[in-house]
Amino acid sequence: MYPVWEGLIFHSAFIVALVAVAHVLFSHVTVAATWFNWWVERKALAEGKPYLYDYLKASALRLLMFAYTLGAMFGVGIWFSVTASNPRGISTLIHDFVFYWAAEWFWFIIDVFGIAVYYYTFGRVNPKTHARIGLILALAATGTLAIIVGILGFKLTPGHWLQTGLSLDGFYNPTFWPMLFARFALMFALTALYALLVAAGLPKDHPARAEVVPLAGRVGLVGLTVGVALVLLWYVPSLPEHARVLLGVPQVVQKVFYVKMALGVVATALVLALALLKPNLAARAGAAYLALFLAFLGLFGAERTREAIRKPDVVLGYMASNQIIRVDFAPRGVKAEEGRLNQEGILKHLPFAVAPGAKAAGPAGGLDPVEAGRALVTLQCSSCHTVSKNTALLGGMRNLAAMFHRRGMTKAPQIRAYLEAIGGFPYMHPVVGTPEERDYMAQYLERLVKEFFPQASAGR
Amino acid sequence: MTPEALLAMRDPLGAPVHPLIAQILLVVTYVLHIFFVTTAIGSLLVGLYGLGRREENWQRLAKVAIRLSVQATGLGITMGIAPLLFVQVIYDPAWYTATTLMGLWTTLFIPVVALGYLFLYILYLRGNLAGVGYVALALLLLAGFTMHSLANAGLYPSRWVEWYAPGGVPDTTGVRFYGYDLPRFAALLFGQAALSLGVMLLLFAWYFRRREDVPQDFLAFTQGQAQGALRLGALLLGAFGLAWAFTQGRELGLSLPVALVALVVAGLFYLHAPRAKAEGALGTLGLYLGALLLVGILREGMRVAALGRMGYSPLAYPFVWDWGSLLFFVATGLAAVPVTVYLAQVLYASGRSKEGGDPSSGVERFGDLGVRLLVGWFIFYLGLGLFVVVRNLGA
Repeated sequence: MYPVWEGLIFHSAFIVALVAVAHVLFSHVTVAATWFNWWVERKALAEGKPYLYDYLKASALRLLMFAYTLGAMFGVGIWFSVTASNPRGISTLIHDFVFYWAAEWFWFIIDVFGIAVYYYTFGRVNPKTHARIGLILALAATGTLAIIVGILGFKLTPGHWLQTGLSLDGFYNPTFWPMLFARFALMFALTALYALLVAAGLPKDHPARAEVVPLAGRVGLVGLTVGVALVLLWYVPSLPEHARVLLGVPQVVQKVFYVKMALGVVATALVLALALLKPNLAARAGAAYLALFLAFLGLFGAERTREAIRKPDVVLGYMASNQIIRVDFAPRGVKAEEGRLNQEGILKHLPFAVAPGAKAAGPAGGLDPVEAGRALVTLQCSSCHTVSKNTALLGGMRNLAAMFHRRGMTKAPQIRAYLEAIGGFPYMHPVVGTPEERDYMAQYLERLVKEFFPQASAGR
Repeated sequence: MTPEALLAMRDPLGAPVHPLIAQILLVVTYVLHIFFVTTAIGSLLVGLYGLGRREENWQRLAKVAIRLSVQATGLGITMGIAPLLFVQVIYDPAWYTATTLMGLWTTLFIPVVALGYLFLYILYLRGNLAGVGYVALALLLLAGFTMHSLANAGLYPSRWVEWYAPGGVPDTTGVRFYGYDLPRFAALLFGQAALSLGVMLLLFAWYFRRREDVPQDFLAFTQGQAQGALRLGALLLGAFGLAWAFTQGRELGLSLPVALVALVVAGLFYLHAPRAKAEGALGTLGLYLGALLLVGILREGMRVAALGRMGYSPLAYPFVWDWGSLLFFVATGLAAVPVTVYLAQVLYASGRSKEGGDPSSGVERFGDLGVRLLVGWFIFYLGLGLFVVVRNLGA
């Protein structure tokens, strides 16, 4: 077990979500835009429409500046933020899939190098060679999607990996196929919005606008329809029962996330329909930015929901969100940790649970029970909950003090009883530790409630 | 932190290959990463300096350097993904402890780089906004210092618990830097930045030596600056390298190897600098990559020695052979490496004259093969998936 980083001002999980969605937005545009541009370039070649190159150049410059490099950077950003917030979770993925990521690295090199070659060779090599570079970019960018989908899906549906321990079984997991095709389709909708934004930057009477905008509308609408259908009819039914149950639990997936998703889909559909029917109206930067913002919100809702329905695990059926391994994993000789920690105690076994000699007063054998409780709560709860004022901006994420206050539990005995009960909730595991350690946790949580709600605590 | 606790922190899943393979890949990919990162810093510094000079050659060099800096930043980040992967495979206790101890800086690392990159791009597009360039430089240096601290904090397991919980009370905000060594940072960032810049400028002069539209006196000027950069890099690496030997090197009982490597690399390039010519740029590049490899091995040696005192050996990392993942990696490499070579060939051909230039028919055929290899990869990828699905049907 590692030191716990709670986050600062913003909760660590919130930071992960922000970085992840920025990455998804950039990277999805990257992949589909390469196919879209390849198609436009083929059209320019086959139909003798050199003016389309103006669109392609404008698109490539933005892809070079933003999508490719920033997309790749924010991909690494997810890694860093996840590493800081849940190191053992990312460790599980790394020790299983390091060579899949290393394979994806080859595609990244082609993407980042290739987009520069693509942009700087406009008009400097023959059109056929240039179109081939476009095709190479499209294939390599799709390669990145092809690989990351396997790793993403694994966390929620590890499938046969739980029995065999083979990385191939985890990679080609039960949600791999629907997620692969649904994401591939949906990214064309995002790309279409991006194409509108690029087209809006061309002069109003530029002939490329008249060609590209309706084409973007058509491609985007097909992508959106197919993608949404695949999510609803294939991806969701492929989810394990546990996850499908959680989709209906409002404490796990709040209504607002469904609203965001619906809003994203509807706004995207409307703008794309406009591109098809009234191209001049749709090719405005304001409309495209607004639609992209709403699509971002929708993505946030979708990614957040996918993460939430995996709870309380970081790898479903293997490791809990608190980074404790739940089960014996025979294929790799891994032993479950929960039982041992319940019996022998967390403080004794985990080097970073609390430093030895912490505040030598108190009845707990040289430990301050409240400080010991803080370490235990931080360790077990802070992946998902705000457990101190460090991350309490706007109340924080599922703030434990607010939850206890709302339920009228402001004293340690009440909180202690609640801690015993939470293992019975569908999205929580039992608290880990000896009975004495659970007492420490309750004592710290009492202090936490007092810190957040001093008057209410005093009045009870 | 006891040796037992350190060993227990290793991921129970074990590595998917023999740890020696991960160790070799870590060093080799680090060399690629640091080459581009230091190129980005070196070229940005010379670009900003050039913007402040009135001479035409300096103005021209500044533009070249800033464009180089933009591309090198993108490639540096991309190349950095690989060593980042492999360090987590066999040094997970050290890496994850460092990243969580400095959690705020860990998470800010990419936003800082991304912002620096954007400012750099603005400088490149506008050409003359030196102030924007200095902001970009400050951000990239902050990112460099963050990565330096993350790598260094992992070398001191005996201090981790005290760092995390000074006086016994855990600090979970991750706002402080730990483990840094300024001489090491200066030697490996500024010393190598000047050397990388020198190598890149030589390559530039070599590549454009036959272009009629590029003035020969500018190329001679560039070569002269390259030699100066190599000399400066040698001096910085030598001086800061010695300081590194007597700070962190002494702490870890490794003063001699650090001083030796620093002096060998510094001496080599100080002596080579006056003889470094555009015609021999590829030879200088080879020499430099060898030097970076030596420094990379020294870095790993320090890590092995520091953790070894706590009974931790990366080569004793438990592992299983996970053939599926190796198959995936090798198949992707077989498809992707030729395509990358093809792209480089196209770029090389396109810069041969002012108007551009087509690749030879042989290169074009190679490009067709590249596309087929990529399509073949997708067939492999989907076929392998179907095989796994079918195999698991009865399970």
